[in-house]
Amino acid sequence: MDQIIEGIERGYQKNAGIPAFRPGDTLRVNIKVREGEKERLQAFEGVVISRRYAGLRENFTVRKISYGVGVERTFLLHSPNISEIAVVRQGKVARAKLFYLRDRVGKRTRVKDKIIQRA
Amino acid sequence: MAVKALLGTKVGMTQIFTDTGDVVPVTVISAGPCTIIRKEDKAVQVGYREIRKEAVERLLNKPLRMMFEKAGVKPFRFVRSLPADDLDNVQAQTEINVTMFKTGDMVDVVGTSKGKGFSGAMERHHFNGQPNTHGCSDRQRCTGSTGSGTEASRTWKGKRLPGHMGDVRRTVKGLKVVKVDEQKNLILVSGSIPGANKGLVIIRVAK
Repeated sequence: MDQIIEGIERGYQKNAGIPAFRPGDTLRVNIKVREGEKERLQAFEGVVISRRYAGLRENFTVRKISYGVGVERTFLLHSPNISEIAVVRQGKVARAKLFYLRDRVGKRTRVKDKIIQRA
Repeated sequence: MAVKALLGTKVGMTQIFTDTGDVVPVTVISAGPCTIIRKEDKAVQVGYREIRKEAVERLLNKPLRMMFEKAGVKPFRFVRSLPADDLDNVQAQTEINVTMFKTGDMVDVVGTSKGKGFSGAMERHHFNGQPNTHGCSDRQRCTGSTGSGTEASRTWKGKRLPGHMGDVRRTVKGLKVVKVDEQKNLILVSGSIPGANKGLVIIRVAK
């Protein structure tokens, strides 16, 4: 990519506050919601099913089952509307994109926990 | 404002966030600085992108070199006329740069669209082509009829046919200036502009 554009994008990127996460992890994303004058935080918790690395345009998709209905939301990682990202659980998966979870119901939608070995 | 336009180079597109968290698609233009060569009637002639000293003799013949020399400016790769008013306050041999624009201004951007070569009527004029079935064979993308037989016995002028497409001067009007970087001579305008990256563009104050 052009260096000038890279420089402009860097000026808008978040440098801190982004934890390391990858597809399969369970995240809790706090989103700023504006209601009239007031601003409040709304949490969205679910499994990361894809992450697209693209500089300022980097985005990730979180999927959760809400009242029996699958809900997916794609976030721009560097958006100022995302106030916090917290990793709730790390998952062990063998794919970069977990779109196969869309075809699964019930117990089979679970993602195995990643066992972190103590040093 | 005196000079109402600036020459620049299209750098490319990206997107940025506003303070409210909205995403704006922007085109980055590296604009100016341009040197005013001479004043014209309601316009100024400006030069953009200086030619390196060692390349001057190769790129410019003597009359052109003398033109720059007599005007008292360095030789430039691009010379264009730009609209201007209040010419009494404009000095030749001075530089103009991106400070003439500020965030929120409306601008028109003139560029040369990407050349598409010799294109068919479907691509060039959005014709629908012919059906795939009902006995139609081997002419799915053709133009169809070019006119009536006995009554006219000729094809009307201006009939839309295949031909060269693109590589023509195009203006996009009413783009908003999103950001101006005075140090780096950059202007960010919302939306797309004509032409390929590295193409010459004119940014002018919207009328």
